[in-house]
Amino acid sequence: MAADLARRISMMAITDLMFGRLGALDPARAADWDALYSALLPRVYNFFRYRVGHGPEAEDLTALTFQKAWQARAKYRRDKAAFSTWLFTIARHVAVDHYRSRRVHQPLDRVLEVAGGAEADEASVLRSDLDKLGRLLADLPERERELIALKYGAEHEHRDIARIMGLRESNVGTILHRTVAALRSRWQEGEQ
Amino acid sequence: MDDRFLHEHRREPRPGFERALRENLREQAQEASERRGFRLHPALSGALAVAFVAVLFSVPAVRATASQLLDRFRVQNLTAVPFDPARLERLKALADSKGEGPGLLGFETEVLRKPGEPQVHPSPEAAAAASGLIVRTPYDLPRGFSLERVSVSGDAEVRMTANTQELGSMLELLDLRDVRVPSEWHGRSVTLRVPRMVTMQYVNGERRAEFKQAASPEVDLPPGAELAQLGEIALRVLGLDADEARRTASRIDWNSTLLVPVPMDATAFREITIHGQKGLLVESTKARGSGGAKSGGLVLWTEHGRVYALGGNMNAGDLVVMAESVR
Repeated sequence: MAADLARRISMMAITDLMFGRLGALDPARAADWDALYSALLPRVYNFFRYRVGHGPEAEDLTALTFQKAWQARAKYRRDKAAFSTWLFTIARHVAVDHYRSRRVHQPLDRVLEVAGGAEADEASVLRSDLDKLGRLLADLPERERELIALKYGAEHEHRDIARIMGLRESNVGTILHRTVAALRSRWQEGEQ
Repeated sequence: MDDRFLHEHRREPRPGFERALRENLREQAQEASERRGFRLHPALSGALAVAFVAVLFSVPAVRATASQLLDRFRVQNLTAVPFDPARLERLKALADSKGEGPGLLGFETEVLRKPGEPQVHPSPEAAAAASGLIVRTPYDLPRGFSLERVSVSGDAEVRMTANTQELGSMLELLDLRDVRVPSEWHGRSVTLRVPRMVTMQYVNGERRAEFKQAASPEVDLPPGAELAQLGEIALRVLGLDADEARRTASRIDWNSTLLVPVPMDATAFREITIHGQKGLLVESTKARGSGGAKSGGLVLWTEHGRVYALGGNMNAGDLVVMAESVR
């Protein structure tokens, strides 16, 4: 930590002062896109899996989110928000646009890899669970499903979810608790 | 059903999808880069740090006793020095292997004051009021440009201490086997103070310019520092041969001159005059003559103890006009 800061400051002495961190002229270079992509792709992808379900659709919306982020990179301000917060704000808008154009909720995953023997049994159980969870998520109100997607798909902390959705952190915890309880109840009803 | 159950239904993206999207984004980046045209060589900032730090640590700092007053380095002059980017790549490789930036090779750093995050202000006047700085502004902007953002970064202070063994390794890596780092430099420190800095960003679509201004950075130096000899090492690090480095070093006032390394494969530079003061214009050689969004450059100058930098992806003429209009 201290070494990083020291490095930053010593480099700043020259690059910031004399050359004005020219990378700032190109925000895409200022942000390490390759590293951000690697770190955030699984989170964005799973956000959409929990949000809209259906593998190919989740992939399409994930790709669209990253493309939009790239095109809007000049608007990203690191002093205003973390990159992930900014990216998931875009992802939310992509999801909203998606629902506007097509209000069909899909199961969480339609296709599972084919396996044999004992693995086939496990896969079958897993597939059944995924289908069931997908149906339960699809029945949730928009806000609750988005919260579930941000929490369990994108693995955000409550504080980040609050920033992204414009809610109070305490409200996020309360709504999530209530939503998971409702899902659990409906899950158990289905098993009886 | 619980948290664990819900988490367990996450899946990794298909490798094929991940690869395809990554490639797609890289292609977009490449296209954008080609459209933008000018980009200073990525090695530039690293080379700057290498040169500057090499100069700093060429200072026999601890000969000073407590009773001796320190001299002070302030930027009054700028001198461009072309360097071979391949040389920097070797330094970067060495730095990467040590987990350090190239500017820190051979030095231990201690942060004495953190700069904090830059603070954004609604206008130059607000930035001036908040920071207590006298903020100057370019009044003659290229057509279509407008001020997008004003920010002020905090001041910082860092102490850097030389490790001659590591410095020797760096010189060896560069095949500078005839350059000797005096062993008495080991453990000597200098303190670098970076003042608050105001940054203004101007945009016109894809074209951007950034104007920075600050008081000179300061470095405490001990009296009697043999800066010419020591700066010579910095010039050798940048790629000058022994004779050229010696000649150049003897002409430079090392108490007030900051080296501005420019990559010889991608940029050209020349001295210019801004407000009657000597400055430097660095421009992309690829972009010269093309004009418009494909060109770009950087104007640097010092004036009344302050340092100014104006860079952007616009032609050199526009940059100089904009710099001249700073009031």
